[in-house]
Amino acid sequence: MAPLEPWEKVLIDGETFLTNIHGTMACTNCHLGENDADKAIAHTEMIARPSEDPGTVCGSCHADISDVYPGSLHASQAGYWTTIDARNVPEDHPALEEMFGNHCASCHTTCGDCHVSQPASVGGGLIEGHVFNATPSLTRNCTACHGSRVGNEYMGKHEDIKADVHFRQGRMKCTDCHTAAEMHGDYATAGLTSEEPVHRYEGGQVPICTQCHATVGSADDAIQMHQMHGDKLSCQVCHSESYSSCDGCHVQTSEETGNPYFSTEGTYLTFFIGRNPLKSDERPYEYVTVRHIPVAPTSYSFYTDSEMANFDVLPTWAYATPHNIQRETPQNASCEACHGNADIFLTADKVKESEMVANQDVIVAEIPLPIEQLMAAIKPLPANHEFYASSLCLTCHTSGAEDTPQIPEGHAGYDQESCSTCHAMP
Amino acid sequence: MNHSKIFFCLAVILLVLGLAGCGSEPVPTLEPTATEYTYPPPMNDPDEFAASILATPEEEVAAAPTEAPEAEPTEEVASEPQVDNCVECHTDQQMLIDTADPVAEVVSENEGEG
Repeated sequence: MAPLEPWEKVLIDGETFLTNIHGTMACTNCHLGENDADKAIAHTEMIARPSEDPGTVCGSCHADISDVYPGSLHASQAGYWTTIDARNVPEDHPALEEMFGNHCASCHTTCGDCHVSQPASVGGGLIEGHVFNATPSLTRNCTACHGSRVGNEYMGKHEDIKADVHFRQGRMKCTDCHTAAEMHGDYATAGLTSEEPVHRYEGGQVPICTQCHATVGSADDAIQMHQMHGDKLSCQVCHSESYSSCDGCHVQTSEETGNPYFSTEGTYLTFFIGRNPLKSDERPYEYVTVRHIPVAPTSYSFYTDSEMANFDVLPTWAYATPHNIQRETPQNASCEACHGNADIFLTADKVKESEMVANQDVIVAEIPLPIEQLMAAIKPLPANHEFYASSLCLTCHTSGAEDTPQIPEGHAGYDQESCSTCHAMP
Repeated sequence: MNHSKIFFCLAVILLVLGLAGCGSEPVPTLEPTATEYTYPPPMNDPDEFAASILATPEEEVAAAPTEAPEAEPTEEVASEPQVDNCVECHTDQQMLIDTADPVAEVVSENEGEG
């Protein structure tokens, strides 16, 4: 995104904005200051970003939104503190607050950062001459912040990797999936089970692919792989391609200028399937895509003079939802692309020794058997089963009736209807 | 001619004159009463609309009924149209360029992707 000239950031479109409902109000209603021809007087006590206090300004008309917005992750940045506090000890909290103020707080998002101007964290500047846009701009609002991962993936900016099919063919904007309720922090309306989630993956999948692709995994789904893998794999495991991972972000202030800055050791493309570190009723998958996040034990050492005391409590290979969805991907081209292919699984050899403990719940210890071995290991149904309907399997194989073998734990993702897909009738 | 005939003739004459007199009066009819409303002109031009909300015409202010008619119009209202200086400046690209504060160039010291 090209930077704006100073005048460009504050130039009002007199033709369009003044016919907008917001343009009929006096500027000083929201920005305070003085209606004076002298710039210095006019800007006395002026508030450049009045929606920093949404309840007072925006809330006079949009109270339903401003009442809930402070609890949104965009406003509260609770997700940051969830991981910062988890990896550190309370004694370091004051130093970490200073760190947060210098490096993280600029990502706090106001109403105006999405509906009026480019986000302050990328330099700000009015979009469309102060016209209030109900729907934020994909490039000038959403990916202005979420650019290096989501934006680059979604719009296909990585070499040889196509843009997300929803963008490439559907021309869908972020807001087509991420609803206003979700963005505004009205999480109950958005469909989350948690009204105050402490990170973006808490409280359910919002958005969820099956909102549009409703038949996936259902009895009406003609795609056998959906039936077979059901709840065992997140959608991205089969339908995303390589995405960004980062290493070793460190934050500090400059000795020369005093300005805060960060440095990351590396950014690279990966595609790894790991075990699901956030398994829940809403995310029941055995396997999910994981990406390396740029945290290191010494990321905040400039402020705390120490390494993170609890670095190992959270994985560094984190649950990821890459935004480069494709219908056809290398890993869904054949069974062998995953079965027996250790390259695409996050096995221990791909994890740094210093991060082994942190990732113990994510590392895949045993990759799925090659398909030939898997099929050979599957017991065919005994001859006397030919009279049983496939829907009766669980009647005996979960109750232990007549000493029948019990269904292994690894079969938890399969439903009763799918037994005969592998265990063929004689 | 006897008296009774004379009176009869006079009565008829008077009656005829009386009816004729009544007939000359215009018959009152209910005509629609035209009320003169002054509608504001349509404002399709955004500039015009903008100007209308930025500056209040002097006559309009002076003619506006007030609950306290004795109050003297203030000099500010009566003299010049109210100008929104904020909009005046912020819709003028050249003025913004001319009055911009010098911006110290900040060279980012960040390394790598954020």
